[in-house]
Amino acid sequence: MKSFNELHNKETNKIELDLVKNLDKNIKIFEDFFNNCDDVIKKKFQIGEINSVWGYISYIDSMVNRDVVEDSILEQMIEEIKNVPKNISEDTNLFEFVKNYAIATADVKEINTFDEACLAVLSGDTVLFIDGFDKALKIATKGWPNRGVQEPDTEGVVRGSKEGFSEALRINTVLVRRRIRDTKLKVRQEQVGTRSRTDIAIMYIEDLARKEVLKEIDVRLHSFSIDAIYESGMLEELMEKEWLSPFPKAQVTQRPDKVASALLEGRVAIVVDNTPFVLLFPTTINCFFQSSEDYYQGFLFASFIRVLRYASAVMAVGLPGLYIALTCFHTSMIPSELVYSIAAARQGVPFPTIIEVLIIELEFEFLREAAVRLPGSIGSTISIVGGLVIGQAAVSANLVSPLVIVIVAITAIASFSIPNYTLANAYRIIKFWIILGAGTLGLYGFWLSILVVLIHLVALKSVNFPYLMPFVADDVNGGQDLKDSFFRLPIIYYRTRPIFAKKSERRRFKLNHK
Amino acid sequence: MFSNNDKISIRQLQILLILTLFTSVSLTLPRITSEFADQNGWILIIGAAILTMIYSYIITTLGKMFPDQTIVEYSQKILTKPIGIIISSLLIAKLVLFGSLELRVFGELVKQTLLKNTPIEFIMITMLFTVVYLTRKGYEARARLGELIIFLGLIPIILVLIFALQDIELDRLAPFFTIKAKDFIAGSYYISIAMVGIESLYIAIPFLRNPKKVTKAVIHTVLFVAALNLMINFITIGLFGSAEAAREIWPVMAIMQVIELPGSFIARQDALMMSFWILTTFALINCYIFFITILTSRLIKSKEANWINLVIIPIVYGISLIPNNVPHTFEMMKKAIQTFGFAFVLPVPVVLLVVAKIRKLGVKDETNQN
Amino acid sequence: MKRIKIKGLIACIISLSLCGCWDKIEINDRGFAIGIGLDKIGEQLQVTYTIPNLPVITGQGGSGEQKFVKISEGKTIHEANKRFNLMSSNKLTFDHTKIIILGKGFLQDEVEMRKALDYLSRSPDYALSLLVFTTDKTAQEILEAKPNSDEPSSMFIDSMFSGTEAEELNDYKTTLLDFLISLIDTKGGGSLPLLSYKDKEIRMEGITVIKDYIECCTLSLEQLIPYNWIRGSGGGKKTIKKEEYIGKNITYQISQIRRNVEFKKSETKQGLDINILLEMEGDIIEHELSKDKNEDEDFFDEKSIKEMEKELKDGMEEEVNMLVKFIQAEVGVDVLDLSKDLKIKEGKLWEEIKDNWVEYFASANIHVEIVPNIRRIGMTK
Repeated sequence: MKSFNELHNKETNKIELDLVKNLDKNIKIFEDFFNNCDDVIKKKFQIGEINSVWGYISYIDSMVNRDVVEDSILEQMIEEIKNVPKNISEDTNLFEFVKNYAIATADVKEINTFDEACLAVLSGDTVLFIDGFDKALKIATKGWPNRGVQEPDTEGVVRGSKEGFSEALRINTVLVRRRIRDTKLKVRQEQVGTRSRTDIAIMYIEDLARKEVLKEIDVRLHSFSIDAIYESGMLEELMEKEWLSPFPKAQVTQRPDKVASALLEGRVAIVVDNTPFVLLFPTTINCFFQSSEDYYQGFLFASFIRVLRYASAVMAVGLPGLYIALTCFHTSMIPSELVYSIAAARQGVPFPTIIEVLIIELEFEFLREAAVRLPGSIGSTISIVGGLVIGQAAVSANLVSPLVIVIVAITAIASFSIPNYTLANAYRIIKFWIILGAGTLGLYGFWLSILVVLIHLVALKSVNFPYLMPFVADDVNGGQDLKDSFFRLPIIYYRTRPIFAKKSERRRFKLNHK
Repeated sequence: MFSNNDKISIRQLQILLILTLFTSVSLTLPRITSEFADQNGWILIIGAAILTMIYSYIITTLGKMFPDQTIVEYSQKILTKPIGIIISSLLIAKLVLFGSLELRVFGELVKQTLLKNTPIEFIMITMLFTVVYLTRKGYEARARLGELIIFLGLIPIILVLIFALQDIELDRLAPFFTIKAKDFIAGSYYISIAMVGIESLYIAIPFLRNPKKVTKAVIHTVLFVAALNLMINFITIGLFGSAEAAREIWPVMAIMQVIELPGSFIARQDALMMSFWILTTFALINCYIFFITILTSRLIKSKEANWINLVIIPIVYGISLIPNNVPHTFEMMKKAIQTFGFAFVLPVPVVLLVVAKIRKLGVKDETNQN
Repeated sequence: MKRIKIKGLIACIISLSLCGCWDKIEINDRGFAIGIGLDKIGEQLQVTYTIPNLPVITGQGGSGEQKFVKISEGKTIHEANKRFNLMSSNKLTFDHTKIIILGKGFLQDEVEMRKALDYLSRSPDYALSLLVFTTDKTAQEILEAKPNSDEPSSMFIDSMFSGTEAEELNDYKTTLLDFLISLIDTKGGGSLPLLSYKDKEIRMEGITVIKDYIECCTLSLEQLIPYNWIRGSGGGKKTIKKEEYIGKNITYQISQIRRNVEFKKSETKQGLDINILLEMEGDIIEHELSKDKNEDEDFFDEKSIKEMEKELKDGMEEEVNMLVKFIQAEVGVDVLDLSKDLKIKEGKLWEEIKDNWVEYFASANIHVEIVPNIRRIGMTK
């Protein structure tokens, strides 16, 4: 017999061994695998009183729902079956008997290999071996400690549901199921990671999602093999082709209503166990500026907020660069009084403008990072202290001019109003590139660096969908997608689905004629 | 549907054409028309538009007969192979020359108005690198960027010019219709071949998704560009008078200093205009470099086109440094336009069309022009 | 190898961008010249610059004057600018220059005027929307003046002439562009507002007329009133001229003037007949309270209005014709913008005579007819 190290397949880490009929042999191999794992509970017991058979049950402590194990399995098996019926002559009947009559839960499966048995125990299920059979039973008893359904902390809304995803895969899929009660909503589960065996669920609506997109996602999921993934972010990075780009190519959300509406547009959601962040493929840059609250508030106000978001996105990227370009190179574009104020305020400042801007920008980045690390209340205090006091002190000490502080503060606030965190991070990086460009060649360099960013964006694809979709190539969908970008029009105008859905299944709204 | 098939739609082709046709002349157009016909220059623009429509009609008809081939292939098919190769090489040479001169003119303008002390080589090299970065991404990326540029760059220019319409003084455009026929013909002819961009139709037709409607779309585009140029001409001569407009090298830039936008706090807008100009000139130079790359790769039948970009950079850069000074640059451009400009817009396509019809080559166009 | 190349490239990019290369000038190292004055002293050109004292002018502390007035000399403006940099720590910037004042001595020299204007139009530093003024003494004096305690006179003059609050003066405002156009079109003719500094006030005193690049004469404020009538609103200007005619006992405020010019080749001599018809709309705003108990002169019926209109017509026509004769005889330059109407109406005639327009204008038979219409008479009879 091979040592159990060699039993694991080198590539996939799967155990290649089947169960045998002798219970003691099964037990020995099983306990060899879980050698030195003291949290695995094992019990050998007798089934039946008169014609008894030995059974063996195993689970991991605190990963199971103890009530199910004790009431539905053990109590049934030990207490209720006092007698194994006399007309049991073949072996299979006993197994079937146990499986059909002795266990009081519905989620019971037969397993044949040690790999499935070990995986079941490691996932929080209970396995039941019976002497004389080379099959075992896997009973679903998952019940580990969980945070429950709480409010999502990165995507808050004023009006709307305050449920957010949790770390358990099943809770997440349930939250989405509650919003779409359609049989065509499919949940396909797979496992990623050779050692972590993390469950992921691919959710889509069968007649809306495009087949090419599903196929592409499958191809990409199976194009790598990795030890473990801990979070959907690792999965996102492994699945994308252009990893050099700072722009996120999948939308990440914590809100079930967002996932539900994305699924109904024809997109595909990937839920990963152990993380409340769900991936949505494919995505365009427009999706990052839509927040679920837009659709629950009135359309005029929502349009105003949308336009504000786009404007703040532009400012978050371009404002420091524009400031440098205008004040150092082309002062003619600034009105006269402002020019005199800026020049007067800069008397005595030791650094050139570009160094000033970089110093304050980096200081703000440090503050933001520090505020994330510190617990709740201290974090917000530190950011206020840092922002106000240090900024004020720097101005008084004549290290920087006050206008730079204003500009950098406006930039930081503008980048906070972008609904998607990853996109805001991308903007923080691009901002430095534009500062460099503007500092070298003034307004000419500013526009050239923006052109380079635009060229990069224009060729970017997310699962083969052009990234800048509603703003370019719009006539592919007849100009429909542009209706939901800058303004949020009343729902009556959204009669067709966006470009993500199949061509034939476009209509989603119709007014009933009286 | 979005696989990397590199096809663009008709609307994107229209946008790209607008960008190239507009940018290639509009900064200096009022000066050119004033040099030919004083204050009646606007009539020349109408004449040039008519001529351009004729050229584009011929070229698109020729292109639709061979919907999957660029000029490299079908010129070799229609006339014999060596002559076809000569024609394609001449077209490439013309594009290289015009592209370098355009780059030089742009660099001079940036140096004069925005960056006075920066060496012009640096300005041109950075623009050239950015252009080459885009050419590596393919035609579809170029079309999408065109859609963004027209929104960012061209629409603000048009809005600013609309505000200028109220300042026109009618007497500077008078007396009307006192143009001589000789000036009219010479001026229209010159302007129609200075509006480079029609040659891109030789190469663009195989990249279209449905090339059937291209003739009508191109004619609409030419009309639109002509209307824009008319507006610019009216505004410039209405504000400056033809004598002053003929004296300024870049009259449209000078207008921007004078226009007062209502409610605007920006005193001088010429740096603002330059921003829009940088974007549109980028599209124009990219048009040249991209087509040079495509033509060369088809001519020498190589699969991978990206290394051609790297070879083109030093050639274009070197040629753009040849003129000694700004007047020399404009003289060279004028001479280049007058010698090479005409060949590829009228004689060559007419010859190809006639020979193709005689030899009954190509696909017949069965659909109506609707 | 590839790594070294990438690292080298990144190092180049970062170092290039941080040092700002060739064109970066910190904003506090720039000296903004708000106004420029040109004078001719002896053989040299003297250029006066007004530079704001930044901390004081923006109220951020500091003390002293709000402006510095610097003087530099040279043979041309460009040379004067360069000499200025020899005595200043800041780099002279003309991005925010608002006004140029031409001194009296400067206006007498034709060559200087041509050189200066060519420089101003050729250099990309100067906006074509600069306001140009003349003065009766030296430009330096006006730029050093302090009409409103400390505010620099350049900013004062600029705000006098721009903005909608400057109703009266907006009509006389001449930008560099307008001036250049009229110089080029008429080969040396143009008109500029005249400022003078008397009794600690800067005021506008008339219009200087330039002929053949030299100052030729001035129109005083009294002559400007009929001058404005003739220029009228027919020339395409959008401001509403509120002109007045102040007769012996009445003030008629004009709100709209429509000008209609007709040209004919004269039968009597080799020249033109020009008929100018001015239709005016206006109100009566001032009169006298009657002294005589019996006479009660009021305007509340049509007949007295018609009488008043006839009186106005005679008075105004007399003034206008005097002015026109003065312009034809003394000035000789077409400051009335008659050529504009000629170009629009009779294109062919213009093409024939445009080279000799100056002679045709001076010898033309100009007859002005005024039709005043009184529309409102205020709140009392």
